[in-house]
This record gives sequence, C-alpha cells and structure tokens, in this order.
Amino acid sequence: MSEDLLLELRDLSVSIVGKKETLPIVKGIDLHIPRGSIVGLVGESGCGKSMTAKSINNILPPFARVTGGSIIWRTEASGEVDLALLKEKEMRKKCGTEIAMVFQEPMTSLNPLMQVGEQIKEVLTIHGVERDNKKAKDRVIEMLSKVGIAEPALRYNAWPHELSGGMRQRVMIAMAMICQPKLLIADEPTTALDVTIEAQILSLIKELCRNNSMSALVITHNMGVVSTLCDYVYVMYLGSVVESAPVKELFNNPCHPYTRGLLSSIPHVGDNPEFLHTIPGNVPDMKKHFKGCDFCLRCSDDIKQCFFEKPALTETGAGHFVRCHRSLGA
Amino acid sequence: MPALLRRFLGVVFVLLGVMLLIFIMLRIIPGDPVSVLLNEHVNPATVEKMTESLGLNKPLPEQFFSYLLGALKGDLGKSYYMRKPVTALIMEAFPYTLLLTVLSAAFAWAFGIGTGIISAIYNNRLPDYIFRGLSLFGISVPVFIVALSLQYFIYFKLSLLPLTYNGSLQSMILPAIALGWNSAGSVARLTRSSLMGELEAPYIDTARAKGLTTRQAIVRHGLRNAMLPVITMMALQLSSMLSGAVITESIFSISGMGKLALTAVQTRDMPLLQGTVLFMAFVISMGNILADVINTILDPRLRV
Amino acid sequence: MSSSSPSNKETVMRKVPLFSRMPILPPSVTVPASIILLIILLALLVPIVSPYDALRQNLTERLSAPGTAHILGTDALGRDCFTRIFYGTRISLFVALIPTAFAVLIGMAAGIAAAFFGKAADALVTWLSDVTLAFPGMLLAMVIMYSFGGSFSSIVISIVIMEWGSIARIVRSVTLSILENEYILAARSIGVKRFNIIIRHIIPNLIPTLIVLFTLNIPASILSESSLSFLGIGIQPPEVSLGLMVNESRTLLFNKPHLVLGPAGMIMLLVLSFNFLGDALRDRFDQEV
Repeated sequence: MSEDLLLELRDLSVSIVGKKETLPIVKGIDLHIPRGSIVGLVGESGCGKSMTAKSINNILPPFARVTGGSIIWRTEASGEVDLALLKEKEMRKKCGTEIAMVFQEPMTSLNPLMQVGEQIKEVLTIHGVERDNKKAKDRVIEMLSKVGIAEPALRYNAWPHELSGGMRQRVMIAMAMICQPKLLIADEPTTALDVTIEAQILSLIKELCRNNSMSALVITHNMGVVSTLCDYVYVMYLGSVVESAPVKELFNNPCHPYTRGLLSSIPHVGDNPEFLHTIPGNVPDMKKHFKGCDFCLRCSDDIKQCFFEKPALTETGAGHFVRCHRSLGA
Repeated sequence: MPALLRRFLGVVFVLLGVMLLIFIMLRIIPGDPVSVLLNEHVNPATVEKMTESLGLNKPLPEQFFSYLLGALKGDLGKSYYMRKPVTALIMEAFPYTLLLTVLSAAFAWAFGIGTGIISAIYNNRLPDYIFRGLSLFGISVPVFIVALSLQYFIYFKLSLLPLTYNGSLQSMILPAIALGWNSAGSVARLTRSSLMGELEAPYIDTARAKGLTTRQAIVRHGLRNAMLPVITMMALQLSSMLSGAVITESIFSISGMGKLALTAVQTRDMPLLQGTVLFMAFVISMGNILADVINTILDPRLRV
Repeated sequence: MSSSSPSNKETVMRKVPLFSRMPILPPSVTVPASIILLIILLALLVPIVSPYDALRQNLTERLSAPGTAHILGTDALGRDCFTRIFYGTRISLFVALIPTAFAVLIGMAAGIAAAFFGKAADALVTWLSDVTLAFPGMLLAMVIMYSFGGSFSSIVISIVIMEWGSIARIVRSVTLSILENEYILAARSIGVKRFNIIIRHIIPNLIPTLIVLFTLNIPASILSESSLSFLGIGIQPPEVSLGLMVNESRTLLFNKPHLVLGPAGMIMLLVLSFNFLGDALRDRFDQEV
C-alpha cells in the first residue's frame, strides 16, 4: 500500500524554537497523500495546518523548525527520500520541479517589481529546465493560456499590480504547474478571492490535477472547498489530527465533535437566519500543557475521561480515523 | 509621466520659497551690509555710492524680483569681498564638492548597504550585533571628530595618506571617509530594517517554493524591494552630506562650496552666501528628483 | 443610561495607551537613561564638585598632563579640562532639550494643522517644510549666524528651523492614520468639536510618536551645536562648548591628543546614549519614524 503513497508524513512535529522554550505547533501528525488524489487539511487559523504544509518543502519561517518525525517522499526516479533530512540545496532542487506551492495572498505572493511572465520563467531557468530564453518564454505563454489567462503573450509582460486577484492566483498556479510537479500544495488558495472567482480557481486546480495525474494537498478552513475539491480529509485541531476520512464519509458520518461543529457552522439556505451555529469558546493557549483532550473545554459532549487522558487516533470505519473517547464507546 | 511633472513643478515652488527665505533672512540683519563691507572710516558719499551700485537702496520686492530674474539667467550677483561674479566662484568651487560628495556617497552606500544586508541575514547573531553597534556608532560621531581621528591615526600614526587635500585623488580619501561615515551608519540601519521587512514578505516564500535558496531569494527578489526606501533616503542624505561638506572642507582645506560659504560668513559677503546656499538647495532638489526618477524606473507601481 | 454614559465615556477615553504599555522598563531603556541622568547630574554639580573655574586662565599650569591635580590635564591657557568639559556639557544638554522641544511642539502643531484643517493648510505646511528641508542644515544655520551673529539664540533658532519640518511631516502622516480610526468618525458624527477631537483623541495618541521624535532629534541637535561651534560660528569664546573646545585644541591634535579626546568623547557618549534611548523607545512604542 505504501508504494502508492506519494507523500507520507510520519509523526511529524514542528515547533517554534525560542531562546528559552520551544513551543510545539504541530504535535506528531501522520498524513498520507496517495498518488493522484487530492487531500484536504482543515482547521481553524492557528491550528498548525499552514506550518505542516510549509514543513514539506521547508519554507518554514526562521523561528520554526521540524523537531521530529519524517516526511517520506516517493518517486520512481529517486525512490524513498526523507525530505526532513535533505540538505537545503537538495530540497530546493525538488521545489518547483516536483513539489510546487500556491499561496493565500496572490497580491503579496508575487514580487511587485518583476513582470509576472519573468517570475514564472524563473522556475525554468533556475532549474535549468529550459536554457533557451525564447523557448522558455514560449513555454510560459503556453502555460498562461492553460490556466485560462486570455491574451497570454500580452499578460506575460504585465506587472502584478495590473492584474486582478483571480488573475494573479492563476499566475501563481501557472508558476506552480510549469514544471509539471507531482505534488501541488495549495495553502488557502481561494481565501482572498471573491466567491465566483473561488469556484473558477477550484475547478482549475481540480482539472489540472486530473489532466496531469498530479496529487494535491489543499489547506483550508472552508468546508465548502473541501467538499468540491478533495478525496480525503484530515481535520486538525491544536496541532493534532482529530479526525480523518474520505470526503463523503466525513460529511455523512462526522464522528469528532469538532468536525461536527465545523460542518454545522456552514450556514444553509433555509436555516433560521436568527441563529448561526458556532463552536463555543476559543482555541486554547498552546503554551499551556493540558493532560486531557485538547478539545474538551469546548466540547458539549465531554465525559470525565476527557479531562484526564488524551484520546488516541483510532480507526472506526474503513479509512475513517477519530481521536475521541466518546466515539470509541467509552 | 504626469506624476514626475507635478513633482518638478513642486520643486520649482520650493526653490522659489528657498530664495524668498534666504532673501528675507539675509536682510533682517541689524545694521546695513554696506558699512560692514567697507571700512568703518569712510565718508558717507562712498557708502551711498556703494549702496546704489549694489541696488540696496531699492524697495525689497524690487530687489527680490531683480535677483530672481538674474538667478534665472545664471547671474547671482557679485561677491563684495572677492569682487568676482558669484556664479563664477561657485563654478570654481563646485567640482571639488561634487568629487568629495560622490566619493563619500560611494563609500557610504557600499559600506552601508553591504553591512546592512549582512546584519539582516544574520539577524540577532554575532555579525548583526557587530555591524549594528558599528552603525549606531557611525551615526553618533560628529563629522569633525571622524575627520580629526582619521588625521590622527591614518596620517600621523600610520602616515598612510596625506593630511590635507593637495589636488591628488589619494588626498581625497580621508575627507570622503570622514564625510561618508555618518551616512554609512544610517544607510546600514535602514537597509537592515527594510530588508528584514521584505524577508517576511510572502513573495520570498514563493521564491523559495519555486526552488530558490534563501540567499538567491534575497538577492533576486528581496534586495530590489528593500532598496526602494533606501534610495529615497540617500537623496535626503545629500542634504546632510552637503552640511557635512562645510566641516570636511574646512578641516581638509578643500576649496569647495562649504569653504566658500564659510568664507562668505566670515567676510560678511552677502551675495556670495546667498548664491552658495541657493545653489546647494538647487542641487538637493535635483537629487530628490533623481531619486524619484530612479524609484519610478525600479517600481512599476509608481508609473501611473 | 443618559446620566451615566458621559462619565463612562470619559473613563474609557482617559485609559489612553502610554503608561499601560510600559509596565517594566527594559535595560535597553534604563541603561542609556541612567548614563544621561548621571551626565546631567555631573553637569549641574560641576561648580560644587570641581575646585577649578572653567574660565580662569592659569598660565603657569599650561598644558599640564592628566594627573592627580587635573584629571584630564589643562589646556593651552592652563584651564582645567575636566571642569571645562562639564561646563560645555551644560550647553550641549541645554541645546539637546530646549530647541528640540520647541521643534517638536512646532512640528506637532503644524503636522496636526496640515492633517486636520483642509487642503490649504496642508499645502502650506508641506511647502514650508519642503522649503526648510531643501537647505543643507549647516548652511541654513550659517545664514542665521550671518544675520544674528554667533550667539546662543541663533543656535536655538537654527536648530528649530532645521528640525521642525521633518517632525511636521511625520506628525502629519501619523495624524492622518489616527483620523482614519472609526472612533474619530464616531466622535465627529455625534458633533464633537474639532478642537476637542484634537485635544482628546489626536494628541493623546500622538504622544508615543512625539516622545520618540523628541529623543531621536536630540542627537541631531547636539551634533548641530557642536559642529557650528567647532567651525567657530556657534558659541563664541570665552563661553565653553564641547565643539569649541575641540576647535581650540585642534592645533595640538598630534602633540596632546587627549585635549581633543575629552570633549569629543563626551559628545559621542551623549549622542550615543540618546541614540540608544531613542531606538529602545521606538521599539517599545512600536513606532515607525
């Protein structure tokens, strides 16, 4: 089975390393991305989902570090590699060619002082994929038209500030796709966009994955994005995976109270407009160590055991894992 | 480029204000300039003749207007003391100041930008502490102390370079370092903080995600963005450099603009002082426009 | 509700940032601040502490080396250097505080006016500050020296003119950003008078900026005075100033370097301390000036 996995995070921990203390933000998560599938990683802001993503291609900010576990990357060309152990130079060779990334803010994620075409072309030149300038430029223009940009030859010379948010995100996707990577990491790719543009970008990502047999890891806090895009979902809370399941299973049979909370927080037409469902309380302080279940203070279903013992991630159905005492029948 | 045109018009207005301000400040002087100029024991007729020849008997607005017209034609009047046209004196002195300023700017920018980048990259590690301390020291030492220290150590103790300017490029090295020292400090500080701000920008993550090493990301993407405020500040520093030039030129006996202005004050030569100050303000304004042009070339967002 | 709300509003308004933001001062503030206080104290007490007169010449004790009688030796006219340094420091400290404070006050008034009283006021203030900033500061000071002579008041005027412009620019932009806050809009919409908005909302919020601007402009003031005096167009002998002392000892630079080192070291110590303090305060108040 593991041969089919393109990427496997094993017990991965990421911490903020300060002078006096280290603060864990990702607490030993396991995550599998099978070839050709789109995997979602969902959670509130600050739960560690972005850090998980950034640890894969090691673009963590200077204060954060992978402190445990491994990131297994499997390709035909190089076999099994632990990305967490790679040297910076080796890692950079894989970035852009095998692993690409799309970010949340398409405005600030592009260098404002460089024409968008040049920024895409840079991927080709630094990896030495296309040394001929003219050919590289043609390839960029072709890619721009593939991501649905009209008049790509003209847009090649556009500056980032001249493009709309949706266009910029298309440029980011073109930049990510230009070397036909095996994995696309999309970190909140549509959060900054209008709803109509969001739908276009999501279907673009889905289509590109299908056509290029590419896998994707989609980071989001939006359950709507998960349902349209993903095959399998991980739900993260306070640095740990609390539930993971195939998308349909998760939506039909959410087991963890946090997942249920997230799902019922989506407003539907016909709901009582006076009442919006929310999860009570706030994300607790990561600095405080608590021996019980991290969610029990916000849980409406908690039992005594929740306060004294952390639940383990346990398989409750086919491919459905839950970290909750309650769902284990306790 | 209407933005630049507007900027240019603004500069014209500023220069007009500069002229007005100098004009007023130099004429609220207690006692009349002519009796200062001539010896105390001269007969009133001579004073009157002198006053008339200098046009000082006319009403002030008229004097200002004729000065303005003259300045537009490049005529800044005649020096009382040296009995030469002010414009000619300025043209003689300016090349020295230009050379001094260009050399010290080159020193300040090379040294300041270099150490600023190192500081930003090694944030809160040893090189950063060293260069941060050095740059704070740099901005805390008055020009004349740097100049005297250089004379003491480089000339007197080590006999490496000449004591004062003697016409050779070599003898311009000490003055250039003395004058550039302060600016190097502030350029280093701004470069550091600006680059550190840029290093947190998401496009640096993008660059690394596409396979650039951190160093490449800084050099190819971060630096250019970080330089925009630094360029603006460099233009502003032209002003403090020309201020410092007065002191540097006096210590190293360079007959540049600063020396000329100092002589004008010491000999109470009003047209000369007026002319030199006006000319310097003109140079500074041109420097600001140049910085705007460079920023417009570098930053497409400014090209509306 | 109607009777209690005004007093509630007042308590909310009075809880303005400044002191709540600085519970304990870090060493980056306290160390330079204590050095400055120590220098101020010594400068004030120097007539009591030192047995010498800063001005009285003693030609029998010319250029004596540093020793027990004269800690830093005597100058070419036999005057005690240590004593003179602290008398000179008085001038530096005065110049550090008074003209800088004037410049900050004028800059504040002009900056608020530019941000608050419409386009004409804005254009006028911007133009005036551009005009004064177009001068090299030293030359502007020289023009003033030319007209009023090298006196104390000329130095004060020069420093104020040199510094107010950039302060006004910063205050203007900070005020504009304060004005964007919703509570200002709220205050305006319920008819609070402009003057009250300035007094109760703008100035309290400007205070951190003003403190930082004040501290960061002090080094510039000290450097201006000492440079002018060094050039011989600032403080005139027999008055004592650190810049003037360096100038007077310049001819002896190679033989008696300690005569230059004393006053020069004091200028640097003062400026460095104020720069450190300004930096620390800026970080503390999170100001971008």
